[in-house]
Amino acid sequence: MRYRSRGRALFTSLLLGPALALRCQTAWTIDSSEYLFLPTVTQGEREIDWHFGVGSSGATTRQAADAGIGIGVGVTAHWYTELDLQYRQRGPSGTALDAVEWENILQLAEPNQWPIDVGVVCAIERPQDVNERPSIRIGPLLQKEFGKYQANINLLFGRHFRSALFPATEIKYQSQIKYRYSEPFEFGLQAFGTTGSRRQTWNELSGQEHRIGPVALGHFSLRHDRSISYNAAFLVGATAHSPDRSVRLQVEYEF
Amino acid sequence: MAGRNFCIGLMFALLAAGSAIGLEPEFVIQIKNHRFVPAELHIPAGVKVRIVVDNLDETQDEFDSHSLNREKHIPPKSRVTLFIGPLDPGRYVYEGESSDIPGGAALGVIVAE
Repeated sequence: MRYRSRGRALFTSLLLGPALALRCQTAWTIDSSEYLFLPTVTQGEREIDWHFGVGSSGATTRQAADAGIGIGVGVTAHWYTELDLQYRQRGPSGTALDAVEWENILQLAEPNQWPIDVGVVCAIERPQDVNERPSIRIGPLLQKEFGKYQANINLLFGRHFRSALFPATEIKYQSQIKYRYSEPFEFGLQAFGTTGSRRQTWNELSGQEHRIGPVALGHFSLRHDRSISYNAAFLVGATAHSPDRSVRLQVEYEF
Repeated sequence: MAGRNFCIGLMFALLAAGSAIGLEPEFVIQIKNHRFVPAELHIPAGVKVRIVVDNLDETQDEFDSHSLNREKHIPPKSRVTLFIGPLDPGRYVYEGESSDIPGGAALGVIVAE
């Protein structure tokens, strides 16, 4: 039992280490699952996906740090599936497994086949908190290339199953525009937001959450057809209900 | 509800626009013994084209290109279709899978002119 506890503590510290290092400089609140979904699938590709985020406290938000690790595979040319373990730290109460998420992405056509590339994401989350009900997120993923520029916008509709605590449909968006400068370094802007809360679908603007900021992305090819991709963003809150500053990082090992 | 109706309408509009597919000029690249044939493909610049990559080998291969923003795995004895362009005039390099292949990954180039 002692070894299991030590192992869990080590695993947690590895996941949240970078986030904890930043804690003394910023206060936080961010949803680590808030990484950009892409509407493209590579058949046969397997990946280990590590992501974390830290967010400072805002006028109405708490500091927070989140991290997660997932493993996924492109099952077919049009279906990618991933199982994700999500860890969360909120204030002094420590870090714990927060939820398990099953994420699925459907690519509806080949890139550039249609005027806009379209995919669909469907993610089912099972929270560890017994007071929360499982939830589902579903929505269209849109992508368009303009030469070396690529734009993405996703709309996500979230809903808890039979939950009196969180009865509203959540509407979230994710967006990005990037310049594909080179394979190891691309750059652009990312924005994430929510129009309401789990209790109310649409709040007035000051009650909504909107974050925007620069992002750097890249891809490194390794031997034996393996590769590492990263994307990191520094996001600034645009409303009182958003964290003033947040940093998010995602690293994917593809094999 | 309004947001949901907007998204459904948007999806149908995109699908309708997609019905115009099939009008692009088509080019074929074959993979034989882990090499692209032809290794240099000339296509018209400023035109969207359809490229069929036909893997004749008994092993999986790949079409991977940052400049074309495409990565596609191709199962053995099968073909995939890529939609590329309109491209500016220039040379766009792509490569295949390199695992266990003497000499490393196959290289190919698409020349838009």
